[in-house]
Amino acid sequence: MRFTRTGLVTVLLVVAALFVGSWLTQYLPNPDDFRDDPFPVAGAVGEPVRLRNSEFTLTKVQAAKRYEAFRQVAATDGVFVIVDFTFVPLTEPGILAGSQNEVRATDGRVFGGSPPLPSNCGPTNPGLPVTCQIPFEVPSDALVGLVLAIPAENGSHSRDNVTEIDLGITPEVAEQFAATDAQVSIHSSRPVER
Amino acid sequence: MAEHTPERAKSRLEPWRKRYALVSDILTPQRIGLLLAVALLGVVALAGGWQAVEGVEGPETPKVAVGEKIVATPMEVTVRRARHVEELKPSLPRADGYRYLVVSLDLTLRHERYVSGVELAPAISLDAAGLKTTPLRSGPKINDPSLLRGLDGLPARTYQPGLATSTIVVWQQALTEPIPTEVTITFAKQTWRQSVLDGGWGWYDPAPVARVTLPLEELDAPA
Amino acid sequence: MTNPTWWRRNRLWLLMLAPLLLLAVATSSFRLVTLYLPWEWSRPTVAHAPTGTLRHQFLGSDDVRREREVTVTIVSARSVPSSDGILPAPGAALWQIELEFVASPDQILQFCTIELADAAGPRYGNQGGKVDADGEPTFANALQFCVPEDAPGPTLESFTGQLVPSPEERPATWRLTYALGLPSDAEPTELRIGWDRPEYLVLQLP
Repeated sequence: MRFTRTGLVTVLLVVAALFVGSWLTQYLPNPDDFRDDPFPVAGAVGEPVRLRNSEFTLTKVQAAKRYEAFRQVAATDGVFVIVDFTFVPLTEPGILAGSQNEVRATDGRVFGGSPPLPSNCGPTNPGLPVTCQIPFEVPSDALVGLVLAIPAENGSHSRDNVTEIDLGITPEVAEQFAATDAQVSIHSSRPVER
Repeated sequence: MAEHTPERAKSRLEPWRKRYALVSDILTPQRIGLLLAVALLGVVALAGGWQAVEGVEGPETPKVAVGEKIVATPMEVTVRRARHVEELKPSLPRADGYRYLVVSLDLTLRHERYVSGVELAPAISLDAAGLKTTPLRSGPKINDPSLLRGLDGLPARTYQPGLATSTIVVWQQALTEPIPTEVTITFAKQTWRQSVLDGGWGWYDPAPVARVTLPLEELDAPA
Repeated sequence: MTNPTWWRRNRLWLLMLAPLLLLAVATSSFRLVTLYLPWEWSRPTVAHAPTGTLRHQFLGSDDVRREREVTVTIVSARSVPSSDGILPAPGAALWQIELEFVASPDQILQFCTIELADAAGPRYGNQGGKVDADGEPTFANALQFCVPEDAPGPTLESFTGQLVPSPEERPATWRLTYALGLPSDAEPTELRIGWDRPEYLVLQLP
């Protein structure tokens, strides 16, 4: 090997270029960053929200300290936010498992998963809406501005349609909800006239 | 370069230089370097390899008093009481040959997303003889405890972020074992990472962070 | 590179560049064809008649590859006010379908998926639109029973992969009746029946 001055300068330039290049690529958008992003569809209480394969209409939002289902009672130190909505598939038979719905708080926390007593929505055929009640257990400091996220299929909150329905919980409503001592009886999914 | 003290420098190094000249065609400087590296690796291998420090026992898990807050990511736990009972309707039916060891604690989830009870159960372990096991090919494995909700006795399927949940942690101990006077519960922290098997995100790698020892009382069944 | 003779010398490859790129994109979709589509109902055998034969190979839960051959005929398909104690839900109509199956007694045909569909519209399955006499939704599986109850023929257990022989040899021909709940204004034109994805049979309603 012979060390020449031009050779050394070349090496230094190449190293500098690699360094600058790798530092720059950190700031470029990366496909991995948004590959799993969902496709949300916004909505509000009372409006039909249409996803690619189903339609949801949120009809009621209430709060309870305890709720009853299947002759058992669940209780919480937080608040049970119970959402009533109608669900109708559009193209093929559909069902929603109770564990795949989530509510998101304004501070980024996500509540959901399997509730203490199981709940489902459906199954039903296209054109035959059913009405469902799904409870979410939420600490009282997270009530304001909760948004309901129901996925289009298979509980997948990434790369697919998801609802983004504002439950309309204002600070006044949140105060009422946090103070509730109500016990609500939840019915299982049943057909509703269109 | 060797102009200043040629005589003395020559006499010191000369014999060595001559000896090296005999083998310098085979043992070039590069080969000598290579041989030294191989020798180094051989010595390290014989000494147990670079990973030898793994075998050393870590510091003992710190002891925490009952009622003190324990941070075992993603949980925040405060232990209350430990009790034993053979039956507690309706949540704990009488089990053939086993009694229940029940620890009540307050569990708050400190993570921005809800976590299922089955993902948290492996982070809570009990030090007691005769706990119920599941036979696996690698040997019997002590079952993860069941988590029940203190307020309603229902299974604790999911923990919500920031919500302090009164929890009952349940293990089963064989009736043939004498009832211990006290039990030690160890809490482990876990890491939120992707599984190397399927790339799914979950809580893995429990590592103990705290132990609590408390007396095992008898549970007075409600009248 | 901007030398005009370079363009002339390489014109053939430049012309082929676009078709080759398209080919590369097409071949990179092989996962869609080999991995994803076989898990959906993606290979219909369209009969253009109320009767048809489904012939395909399938992998059973015991990892054995078998041939399936079954002929299905729609004997009747009509809207009924009630069927076997099941009533339509409000806003729904109950469609009663009678099917005749012809298959050799050693065929595994226990559970199938039956759906009604419009020519280009939604598909309707076994779950939904049905209530009992009290108006409560009836429990229904997505999969239907497609063999006679007392002589089901050989059955393959899904979890253990065990092949259970039939207590009695299944007849070569048998008929079964199904009830599906559809919206009252739906006009189905075809029936789809399938046992293992992705192959299924499409029959026209008589």
